Amino acid sequence: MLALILRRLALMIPVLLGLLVLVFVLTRIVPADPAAVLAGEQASPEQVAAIRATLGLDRPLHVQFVRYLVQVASGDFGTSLYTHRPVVQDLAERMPATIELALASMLLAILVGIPLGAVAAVRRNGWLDQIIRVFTIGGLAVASFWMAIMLQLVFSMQLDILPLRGRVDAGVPAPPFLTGLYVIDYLLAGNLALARHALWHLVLPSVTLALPATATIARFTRSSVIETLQKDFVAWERAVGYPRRVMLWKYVLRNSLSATVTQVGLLFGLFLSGSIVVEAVFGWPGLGDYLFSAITTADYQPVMATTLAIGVIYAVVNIMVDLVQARIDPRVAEQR
Amino acid sequence: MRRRDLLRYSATAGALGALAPIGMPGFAVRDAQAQGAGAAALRWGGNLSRTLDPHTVYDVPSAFTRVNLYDCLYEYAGNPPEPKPLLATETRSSADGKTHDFTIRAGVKFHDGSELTAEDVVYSFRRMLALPQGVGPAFRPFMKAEGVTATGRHSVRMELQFPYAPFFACLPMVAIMNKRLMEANTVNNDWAAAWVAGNDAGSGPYKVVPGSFRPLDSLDMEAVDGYWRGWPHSRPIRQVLCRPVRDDATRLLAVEKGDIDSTHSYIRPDQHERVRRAPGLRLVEEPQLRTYLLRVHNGRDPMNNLDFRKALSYAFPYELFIQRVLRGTAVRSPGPLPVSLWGHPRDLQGYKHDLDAARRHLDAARRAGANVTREITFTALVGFDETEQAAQLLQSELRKIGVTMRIAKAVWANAVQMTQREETSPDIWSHWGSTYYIDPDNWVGQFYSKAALGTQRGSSWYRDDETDGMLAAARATLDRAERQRLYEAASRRLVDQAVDVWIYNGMAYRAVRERVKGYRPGAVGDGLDLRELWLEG
Repeated sequence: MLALILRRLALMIPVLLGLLVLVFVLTRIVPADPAAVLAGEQASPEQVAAIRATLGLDRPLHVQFVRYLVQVASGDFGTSLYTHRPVVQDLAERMPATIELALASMLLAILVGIPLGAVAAVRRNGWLDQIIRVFTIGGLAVASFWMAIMLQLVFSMQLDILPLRGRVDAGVPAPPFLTGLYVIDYLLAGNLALARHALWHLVLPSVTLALPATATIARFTRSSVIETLQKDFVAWERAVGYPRRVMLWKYVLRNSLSATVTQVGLLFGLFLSGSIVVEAVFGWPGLGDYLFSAITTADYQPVMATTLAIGVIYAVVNIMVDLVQARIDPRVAEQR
Repeated sequence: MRRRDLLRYSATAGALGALAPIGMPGFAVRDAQAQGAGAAALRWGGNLSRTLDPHTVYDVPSAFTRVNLYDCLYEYAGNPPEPKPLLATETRSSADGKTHDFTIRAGVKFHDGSELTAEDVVYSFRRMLALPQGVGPAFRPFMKAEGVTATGRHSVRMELQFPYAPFFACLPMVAIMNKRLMEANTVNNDWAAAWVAGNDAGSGPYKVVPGSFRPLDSLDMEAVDGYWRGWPHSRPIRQVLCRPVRDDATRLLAVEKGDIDSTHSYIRPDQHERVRRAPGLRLVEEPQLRTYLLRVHNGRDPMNNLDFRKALSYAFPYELFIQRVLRGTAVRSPGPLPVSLWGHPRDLQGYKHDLDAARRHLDAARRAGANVTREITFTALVGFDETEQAAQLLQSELRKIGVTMRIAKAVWANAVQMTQREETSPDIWSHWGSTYYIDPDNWVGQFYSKAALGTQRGSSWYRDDETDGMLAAARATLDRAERQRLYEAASRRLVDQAVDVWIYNGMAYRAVRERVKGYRPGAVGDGLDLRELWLEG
């Protein structure tokens, strides 16, 4: 297992380096001049040129890249042209919000998607399977922003049982920073009421983000379970009279989850990128809004750092997925 | 469904229902409110700047913090707004208009309790001039750091490079900062830019709650006890929680629900009726000096032909755009200046939608050898639907007279980049004449002077010595009547030459909850004075 982890970590390095090159080139070939945007409308061409020189944007691309590499290697991701704050500080403040949302969504998608898929497979072509099929197709077809608005209208405006937006209400103090995940930090601070408050704020955005993923997981699980149910060992277990529930949840599901787990890893990337829309609608102060604002103003340091950070998270999650797969099916560890 | 299954599902639903009240969110919200979310606070939903530094950014959202955290030598007051002394109690100008002596109000305190003196004014102006972006570029052409000196504890002299008439109109742009505090937080000669981006060093009516600012996301402010201008209402707002809502749909839901007390000032025309009908809400109209125009590349064929440009001007359906697209929420602006501002010729007619006239001018352009068959490109801005709608209307009308136009899209940053060079500048693009300082020079002077070439302001690539001379003369003389005459003459000349397609003066709309009283729009951007507000109930 340790060898597997080390192998996967080693493979991460060229992947991240490639990502770094890609993002750097993309931010430089886009026809947008950060210096001109930063200088503002009142600046003269000479003033813009002076800013360009100060930022080092007048140097050859390869010189800029080497400089950036050295900078990143020393843990410095630069300073935002607009906030004048180190990008690392901005990321540290916003990343936990996005991770909290992505984790909650992933948990929700797994907890709902896998049982739904399993039930649909067991009741194949029955009315329950049909209902789940409608749900899964709907979940994949519905646009996130529309679903977000519908959930807000029903649960926040009409029923008034869930908050409309934000991580907490305005004026509610943030928890002391431990993990950056509000629900956990409030709990660790012993403030159950605010933990619950933060949890309820998490419901609508995470349901919105989890819906398409839940549908995908359910579809994958259904296919895998159906395939497993047709295997010889299941027929044998049935013949010897294993209890149906034990057979399904203990043996069939475990043998079916390999593909689903891989899918979960891929879906985590979807959670991170999909959070841009969801964060905007729900006023969730994560990376999405920050990245969008940076892109539209050509604030290239945050764009590069955020993309790289998402890349690292994605790679780490996929290593974890590999480990889970190896745990479910030891043959995977041997093959890899 | 089998009977056993039905019973099992019913039991599960019943158990969940019985457990639900334990975790009812309503309970949690009340718990949380008990722990600090005060109903007496103003929950401001307007846009928030990316930095609290009043010198490095000068845009619509930054006016909110500049006005409420800082004081300036001058402020804008009245309607239409004019620059009036604020920290300055007396101003004396030399006959040649180059030297200005200011007496600074005594007894004004910064938020740390120290007194505001001439040294702080000098520091603030020198800092503003030293920083490469924000307010500085507007001052640097006529002012140098060494030209700002303290002549006493409460007196400052400013010597300009040359007489510059819009100088007083520019003064409300410069926030006065606490020199001692700034110097204590300066690192590597950065003029404390990193520190003041998230903190305040001002003397304004509100101060920042330390650590509460997150760029674009949140800011908490508290009223300053004993603020020198006093508080107009007996129960002013003590606490302001700024929580911008970025999404259009959520913004209205949030103000309807009472999560925020006010939206930003860009409520779309199609949302106005909904706001008017919503209980507890009102729609506030904010007259704007901002102009909307189509910039036309005067240096490129066929737009370098006067008749072709006139054909463009006659082809645009102004009334249709204002009445249908903007639902009547704007005023037709026939020339380069806002219609309510001095310097705009009151009798200026401008162009009307007239396809016959457009055809006549197109024929004349063709006869003069202009390449009228070339497909021209209109660059609309991503995220600004209005620019695309303007492009589509113009495209449709031009097609009727035989001109083909393609619509391209660019994000703001890309469009700005394109305008830096004559070769890459768009044939036509959408531009707003935003208010930086309230003086005709901010619009006509900045857009049509040769000095603006190579910037987004000069993206018409217009070169005319006579107009340039008039604009330079208007900047140099302090005689208001003469300036008015020059700006009117320049405006007429620009319209005669159909340099751009000037469309409208906007009106901004903000949804505000009824409990917010005393609301009066700010003169520039989001710069309303929170001192004047109070909350009912």
